[in-house]
Amino acid sequence: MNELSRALVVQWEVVTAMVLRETLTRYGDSRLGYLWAILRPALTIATFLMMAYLGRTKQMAGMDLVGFYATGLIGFDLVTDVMGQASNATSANRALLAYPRVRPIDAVLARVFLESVTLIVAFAVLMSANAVYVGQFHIDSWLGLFRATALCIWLGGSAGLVICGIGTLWPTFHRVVAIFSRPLLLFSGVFYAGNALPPMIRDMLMYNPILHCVELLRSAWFRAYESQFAQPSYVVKWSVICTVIGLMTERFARDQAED
Amino acid sequence: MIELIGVSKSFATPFGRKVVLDAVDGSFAPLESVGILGRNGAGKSTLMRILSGAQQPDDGYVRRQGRVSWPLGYSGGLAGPLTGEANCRMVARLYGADPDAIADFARSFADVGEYFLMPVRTYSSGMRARVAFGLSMALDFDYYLVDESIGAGDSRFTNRCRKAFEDRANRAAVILVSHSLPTVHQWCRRYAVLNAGHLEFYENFEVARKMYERGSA
Repeated sequence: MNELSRALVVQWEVVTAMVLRETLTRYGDSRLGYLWAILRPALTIATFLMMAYLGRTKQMAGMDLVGFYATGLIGFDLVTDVMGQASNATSANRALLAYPRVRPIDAVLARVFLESVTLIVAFAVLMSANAVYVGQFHIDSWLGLFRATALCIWLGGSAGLVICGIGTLWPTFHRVVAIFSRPLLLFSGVFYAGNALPPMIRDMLMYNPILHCVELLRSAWFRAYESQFAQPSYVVKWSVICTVIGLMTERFARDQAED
Repeated sequence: MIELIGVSKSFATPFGRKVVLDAVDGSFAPLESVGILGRNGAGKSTLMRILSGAQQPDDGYVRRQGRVSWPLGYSGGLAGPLTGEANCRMVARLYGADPDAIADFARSFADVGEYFLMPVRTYSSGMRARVAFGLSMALDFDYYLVDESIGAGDSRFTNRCRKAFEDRANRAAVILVSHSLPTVHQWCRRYAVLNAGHLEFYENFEVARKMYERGSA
């Protein structure tokens, strides 16, 4: 075996071991365990539906309400939950970083993987249940759905890597991020369709890459909806920049994590 | 063989940069147990982490041939919320070894009874050291990096560790850091003194002792 393939085998062993460990520590304690992961988005969507019911909303720009909120919430969660999990990857796995084989990037990758798979499973269960209830199931573009999901995960994971790296050098950064990510739920198109926004507001919100992610997800899912402004390339730009900065700060994360 | 080539490491402190290792050279041959003496704060733990690969030097590089353990000591290594068994299985997977075999070996070596199936956070520090030690013994390393914790356990366990290393003297080496002269003398045949960022090797214990005591004075 040459150096690269040996390194890849080691990384594979490390990441899979960490995924197993994360599953145990995150879902092993609670009696309902993994079921919570699915219940949580379902309950959130139920709350959204209740608000819509009170506002007498029946559909959103041609999309059924459950699907509309589900795509919005899962798109948003894929970015922000993956980011949150990734950003605490090293502080939560301090004990493991004592093993030379474990690098901060492995901890981040393991968490990104586990969180994404959990959310995708939750989404699949929700949408299947909804399809049975409504009596029909249709996805406009599988390729588009795959692309939108991948972009969400990449954006969230790379942003988490940056926060993880900078956060070890400067712990206050975690607080700053927490404050600024709080209003994101309102600015990311979870409750409204981007096409329906007044142009002036839309021009401002378009700087938010999460809005692009959510819009891309909805455009791929619904035949009736095609976003007029969402750009995959815009999300890619953010993700590439975050990945580069994140990988540069990863080294510091390792050194600091041991003190 | 583990070789250190011009290895430097410094840390930022509120009082300026503190140089812990200053262009250190050295080599550790297979099957040769080396005792590294150093006062508290001399940089022993940093040296161990760099030898293991858990930390990267600022300058210079480390060349490793053979399997090198993680630094064995009190701190870190075991995750508090998981049981001793789950920890062992997890680390076995990290190293691509069979989880069942590793956990069984670690359990019989550590000898902590039912605690093995309880979360590590309920352990005393001595029990942690036992499990961590048993775990490292289960994974066949060519070099064991041992922190002074070995002398801190109860004497029965310390003897057991020494016996385990004697049993595998023909296939593994111990690199031990300590500030205790007797421990180092007991365990090792070659010595080194870490002082003010420099690492000097000695074949003779008395010479090493003199150099160490002069550095401490």
